[in-house]
Order: sequence, then structure tokens, then C-alpha cells
Amino acid sequence: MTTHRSLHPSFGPGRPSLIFEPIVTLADGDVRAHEAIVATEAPVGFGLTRGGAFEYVLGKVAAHLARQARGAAVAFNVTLDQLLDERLPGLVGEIAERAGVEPHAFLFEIDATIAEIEPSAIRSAIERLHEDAWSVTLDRIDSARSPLQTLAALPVDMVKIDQRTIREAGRDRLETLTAVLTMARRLGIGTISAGISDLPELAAAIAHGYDLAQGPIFGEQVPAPRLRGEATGPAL
Amino acid sequence: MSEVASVRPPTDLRAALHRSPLPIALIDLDDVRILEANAAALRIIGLDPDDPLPGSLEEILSPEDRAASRAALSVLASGAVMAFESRRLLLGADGARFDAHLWVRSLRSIGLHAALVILAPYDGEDPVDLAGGAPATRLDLGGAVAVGSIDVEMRILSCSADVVEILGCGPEAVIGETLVSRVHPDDVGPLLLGVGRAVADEHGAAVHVRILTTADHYTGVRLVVNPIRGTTSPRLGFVMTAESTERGDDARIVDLERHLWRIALEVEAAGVTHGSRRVPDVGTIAGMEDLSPRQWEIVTRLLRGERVPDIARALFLSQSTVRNQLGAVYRKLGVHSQSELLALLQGRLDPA
Repeated sequence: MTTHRSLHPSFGPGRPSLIFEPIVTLADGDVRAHEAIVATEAPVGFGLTRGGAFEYVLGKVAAHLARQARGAAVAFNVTLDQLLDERLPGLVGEIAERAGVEPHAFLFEIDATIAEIEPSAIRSAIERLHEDAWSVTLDRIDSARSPLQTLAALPVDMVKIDQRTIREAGRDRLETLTAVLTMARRLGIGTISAGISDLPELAAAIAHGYDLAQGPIFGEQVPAPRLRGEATGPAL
Repeated sequence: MSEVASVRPPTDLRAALHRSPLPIALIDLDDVRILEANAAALRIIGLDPDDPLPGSLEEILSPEDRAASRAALSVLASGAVMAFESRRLLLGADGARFDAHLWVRSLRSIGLHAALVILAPYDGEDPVDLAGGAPATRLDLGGAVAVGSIDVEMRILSCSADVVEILGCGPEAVIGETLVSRVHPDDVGPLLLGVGRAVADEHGAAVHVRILTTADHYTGVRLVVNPIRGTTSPRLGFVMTAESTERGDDARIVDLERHLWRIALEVEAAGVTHGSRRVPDVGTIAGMEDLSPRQWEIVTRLLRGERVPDIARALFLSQSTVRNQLGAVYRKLGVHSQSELLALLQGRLDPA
């Protein structure tokens, strides 16, 4: 989970800030979606927020979409508890409708490390979300103990690999992640390369055939009021 | 929904709408209120410019057409499609009913949760000619936008006089030339791909190319190419727009006005007002009301010719999620395959 050093006072002084990171199509450089991230001075953990703050933060995201970026898509992480809660799709749909935005503008992300905890319960939760075709991304699959097994076990729509892990990965791990990409393609699952910070990493992501990418190279994470902004990275 | 209820068309968009020769109304996409309508549109439904506007689009539709219109507009509001066409029975101010062809285009690309509705009375088999006259003599574009047509070998067959603002020469200088000869050598590939796609899938295509002016330098243009239906020899309409390098509020307003013009011109270039293509009116098929908005979105994309991988990519879904949703659609509509579904939606198969 990315954090942002310079806090933006979206929620008031001294409180966490809501920021958006653009997600870009590698084929043409278009901004396809944003990831909503709650930035704090300390890592926020896996999940947009926990407990009652979740509804509040998601309401903020929905309000920004309604005012400034109707039609845009926003991805956000959910915790294990939130994912397993049967009320999750209803709650998200209700928040979206209250703000007057399309519910499926919200894209769910789950962290691969939590996905390994209770795979069968998580599989059922994803299938529940799929009943109304919500999009579910498996985030940071590079952090899973057994990435291939995790991908095979869960019927996700997209899978995200973080370049920061790849930078530090050994050869065996790289081969495993290449196999994850191949498997994802065969399963018709979208692939996202996250954390791209320089041109060599961008070139590598293109060469590996990722569908989407995100990271500092596509411009700074933007505070909520500037959600409509374009990515400022190099033309692809 | 208070955010949506406050949709107000920008002044410049309203001004452009009232100047347009096409009968255009602007509607709010949430409650289909008519926000604005020009004199040509009001005349069609038997109103004078000073009369109060009808409260909503539904008020001018015959009751039996309202449910289908609501369904189609909900798909447009969802963002699944940018435009649709349909034949509708309209109610005039005097209570008379008449057939009309409606071309409805979303304005979400300029940040408005609203749509333009172009109304064309439809008289039996005869195509409606709203425009009248040749483009070169009729258009007053108020900006660097030219419209014309090319044959399949990309020879320019007609071109509006406005081309002088982009290329520095009038239509007489470019008619008979091939478009390729004026395009920058590095842009010929994208142009051929764009035209090829427009011919192949009949949905039209937009390409950005550099084009040679009489000052002997290349200038960037956006070309929208659409097949023209209903003609004896294959032709494509094109809309050429100079790419603006300016930015700022003034430029934005100019862009907005051009956007409206471009929409109207794209309609004409596509031949919609001359030989309307029958677009399936899926709102009238039994069982469609049971589809979820997400299933609607997938079905409308399928109707537009998108394949499962394209739909999956556009909706951030895996191909198997899309296929599972299609399976649910098949069950609701009583069909067994994608080809049966398309046949049903295109009116070639009776509902079970």
C-alpha cells in the first residue's frame, strides 16, 4: 500500500488525507481509473480504512466522483473483514447511489497476503461480488507466499504486481511472477503493474505485456479535489 | 440526486444549440427533463419559441413508447453507450401522433450528465432530409471544422467551404485529391487503419493526423470517418477539426461550441438524417426488464460489436466474469448462445 508524505488536509487538520493515483492503459497512455488511497504518516495497513471510517471515506470518494469526475472509475482496498461481510456490495451500491454515481465505478481490491488466510471464504465472497459483476483485483500478488496457487484459487478479474517487489526479487521469484502473468493472460484476467517509478521499469512493464500500470512515473498522486487531472508522465 | 438535478447547460452550449439548423433538445439524463430546445425542435412538436418547454422528454412520447425510451436512456446514462437511435411515436402539442427518428447523444465527454436529442420526423420509407442543400453552400461552422466525403480509395468527393480555415485553400482545390497525398508520411499508417476500421465495423473511427496546408507546412487535425449508408457506391463521411493548441477558459468555451457543432456534423456525415440505419430497440423485448444495469451494459456493448475480451477490458472484469453474466442474460431471455442473443436483439428471432 502506497503512502503519501505530504498530507493534504482533505479531512481537516491533522487527519488522514484522501489521494488518488492514476491507473493508465499501457497501450495508449489513457488514464482508465484511479486508486483511492488514504495517506497517513504511518502505513495505513491493508484496506482503505477500517471500521466506521470506511463508509465515511467511501462517501467522500463518491462525492468527488459526482462533482468532478462522473464516469471515472476508482479502485480501493478492502480488509478481510469487509470482504467477508455480505453487506459490502449493498453498502457500496448505496453510497454510490446516494452520491448519484454509477455503483460499478468502484473497483474492489484485496491484498494477496490476506487472500491466503481463508481462501475458500474469500472465493465465496468474490463469487458473491460477481453475482452483480463487481470488479475484484488481487493486489500485490508478488507478496503472496504462493502467487500461482493464490491466483488459481481465486476467481479475480485483475491481478496487480508491484514493481518495488520485483526490484528486490531473486531470479526464482521473477520466474514465478512471469508465470503468474502468463497464467493471468490465459485465464483472461487483466494485469496491472504497480509502483512504476522510472522509464526502465515502464519499458519492462510494456515488454512484459501488462494491460495497465500505475506509479510515480505517471505523475504525483493527486489530492481528491484534483481528481480530474490527467497523468503527467511520458507519452507512451 | 441533488447534484444531478442542478445540471445547467453552459451558456455557450445553449447559444450553439439555438444557432443549430438541426432540431435539437438537451435533456437531463437522470429525470429526462428537457433543459433546452431550439426553435426547430419546438416547431416539430407544434410549439412556438415563446411557449413553455414540455416538462420532460416523456411528455412528448406516446405512452406505449415511454418504457422503451426509459430503458434506452438508462443505458445511455450508465455510460455504456455514447449514443443511440430509435424510432418513436411522438405527441404533438395538438395531440396528434407522428413517427420520428430520435438520435440521442450523451454529453458526458464534456462533463455534463445530459444528452442531446435530435428529432427527425419520419415519413414512411422516405429518408428525412433535415439539412437540405450541399454542405459546401450551407454550413456556417463558426470554427475550424470541415465536413465532406471520400470514396473507398480515399479520393475526396466533396468538402465544405470551411476547409479553407484549416488548409488555406477552398474545396475546389482538394476535391479529386486523395486524402493520403495530403497526410504526413508518418501518419499514413494510422489513417489507413482508421479508415479500414470505419469500413470494416461500420462504427466509424477517429484518427489524429498531420495534414499539408497551402503554406507548405503540416497542421494537426482530428478526422472522424463514418461510412455513409444508403448510397449507391460506398462512401465515407469525414469531419475534419483543427486541433487546438490553445488552452484556458476562452479556448475551453470555443472547444465546447465546436464540440456541439462536431456532434451535429457527425450526424450528418454519418448519413443519419438522410438514411437512418435501424438500430435495434432493445427496450421493447420481453425479459429485458429483468436484466441488471450491469447486464444491460454488457448486452449493449455486445450489440455495438464489442467482443468478450473488449468488454472485459472496458469494465475491469475478467473474461469469465463477463461470460458468466452473459450466461445469466441467456437464462433470463430464454436463449442459448451469443448468436441467438444477438439474433433476438436484432429482431431476427422471436422471443421464446
